[in-house]
Amino acid sequence: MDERTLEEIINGCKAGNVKDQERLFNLYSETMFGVCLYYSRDTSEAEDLLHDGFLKIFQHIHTFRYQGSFEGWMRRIMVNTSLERFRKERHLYSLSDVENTLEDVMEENIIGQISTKDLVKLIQDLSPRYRMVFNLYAVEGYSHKEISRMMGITEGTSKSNLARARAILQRNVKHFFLTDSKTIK
Amino acid sequence: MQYDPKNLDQYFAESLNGFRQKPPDGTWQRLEADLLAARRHRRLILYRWTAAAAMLLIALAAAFYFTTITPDHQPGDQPLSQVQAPATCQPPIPAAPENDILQNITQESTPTIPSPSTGQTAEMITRTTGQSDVPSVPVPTGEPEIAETLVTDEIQKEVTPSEDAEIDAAQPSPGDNHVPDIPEPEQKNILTKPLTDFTFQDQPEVIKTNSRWSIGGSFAPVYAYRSIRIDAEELPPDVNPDINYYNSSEEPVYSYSGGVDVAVNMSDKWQFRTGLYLSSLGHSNQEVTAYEAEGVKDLLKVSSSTGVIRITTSKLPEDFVDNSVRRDSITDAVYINSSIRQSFTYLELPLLVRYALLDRRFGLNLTGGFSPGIMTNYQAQFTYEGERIDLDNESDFYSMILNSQVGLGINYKITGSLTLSLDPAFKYSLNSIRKDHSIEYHPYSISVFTGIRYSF
Repeated sequence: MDERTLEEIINGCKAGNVKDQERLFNLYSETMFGVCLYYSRDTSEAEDLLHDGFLKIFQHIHTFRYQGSFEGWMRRIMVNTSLERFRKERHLYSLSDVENTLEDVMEENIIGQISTKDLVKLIQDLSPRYRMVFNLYAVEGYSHKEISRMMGITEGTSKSNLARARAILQRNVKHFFLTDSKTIK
Repeated sequence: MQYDPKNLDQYFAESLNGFRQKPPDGTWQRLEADLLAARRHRRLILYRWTAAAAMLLIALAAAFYFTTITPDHQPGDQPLSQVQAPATCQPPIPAAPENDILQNITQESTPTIPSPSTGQTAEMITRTTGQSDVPSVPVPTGEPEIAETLVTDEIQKEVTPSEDAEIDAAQPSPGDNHVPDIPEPEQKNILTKPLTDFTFQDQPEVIKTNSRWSIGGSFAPVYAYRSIRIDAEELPPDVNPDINYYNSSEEPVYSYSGGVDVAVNMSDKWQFRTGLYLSSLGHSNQEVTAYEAEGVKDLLKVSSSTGVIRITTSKLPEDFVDNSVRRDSITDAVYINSSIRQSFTYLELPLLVRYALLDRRFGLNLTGGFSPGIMTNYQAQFTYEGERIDLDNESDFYSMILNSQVGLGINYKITGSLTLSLDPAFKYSLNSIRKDHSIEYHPYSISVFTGIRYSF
């Protein structure tokens, strides 16, 4: 087991020490990959996000001033990386990615559990914009005003996208519980 | 947690909290390779500039070699100039030899025609060609073609005796009343000599003046950047800046330099120059990441190799803040989608020595020396929609700079007193311009000066 403290590892990364960079990667890669997974459509895209995010982390680690959680700081970078990718690629998304037809939203409570992996898959199945708005609002806790600035959309669009994302998720959760198989394909 | 559609957001947020999954194998290896590639890329930029400078030097050296060294000559294949006039710029050949030649010309079709040793034959052809341009000379039918053929033959240096006889047959005899208008010997040599026989000695001599003094002015586009070095002994114990960050987030800038100078020739080869030049150096910061200053409202700070740059957000245009500034509420980082350009303007007094490698109409020279200067201005600026927004820097800078300078230049003498010049130069600051020595900041620049000079 590596006996170096986190602070020593961070300082090593600031000095460009490759061994410390690898230690840091091994410490946080699983957690950060978890974040990347629900910001992307599949494992391959999540891997790319993780790669780009860690590159940024190593390039900007000197700006970390030990104020607040280091893991939180890394997580922000991962989220920002996915946001940048979204902004770059949003012109590639077809309208059909956004205009999902919605069924009636289930109102009654469902008693049951879904594994976290299945929840991640449900989020991944959302269109890129819905996925981004839902994650930023529901998971990260940003306001619609912040989201509109980060994504380059209006607050109204942000609210509308969130409502649609919720409706799609509710529909898919309902579908999940109604099917025999607990595995979402 | 139980699923409740009314608390969908909370359900997902709590379920995903702490979610982790092992990334695919090989992710670290790919990342490590890219980290190394990024380092190599920075080195590659340096290598490219070194290679470009080396190629420039080789090209100039090659140009120098090929313009000063005459082509190889085979034994017995002397250049025309050496056969006719061993020394260049000889006075015109006296009239008497010309008459002799004309007499030789009249002895057409005789077996005593000189054997086709290149020099003599070519000389005769030259005279024939010169005469063919004189309208008053009665020209036999077909003579122009013969003359043209002869010129071609002369270039090839393969003229047979019978052809010579034919040429001579076409010449007017001394009995005619025409006085052939034969060009001056030197002029004929230049006009008709094969190109391969040209040497520097054949060129018109540069008008040399005895001017000891000259004044000039020049202007240059400048590629400016800096080299930095972190001095660990000067750093507080808890500060550990990363030089790689500065090198990856900062970039060179293009600026200008220009001024006037006076030169004095110390000998044929050596010259001393001094003058006044205004130069702009610096770099730009890309991907600006700022942090809020503790306890101060509306103040952001950006770490730069020149020091900490202060941004007063209340002074920024609202459009700029709305469109280009994004605050991360969790880490307090502020990402600014713009670059900061930092410029140092110096008034310099160059003290240069120049050595002439080649002193002819086209000249080649080496320059070296020092260029001390006084900082006249420092600016750190955002540029937004064509408008420049000034920022402050917390660091103190030395007002003096001492640059070393080397260059390899070419010049072209338009007249005896006017000269055009093209002088690529490399300047490097010998002193760090930051008073705080935790980071040594040495500006350097590559300039290509274009100028004009008047000798008096």
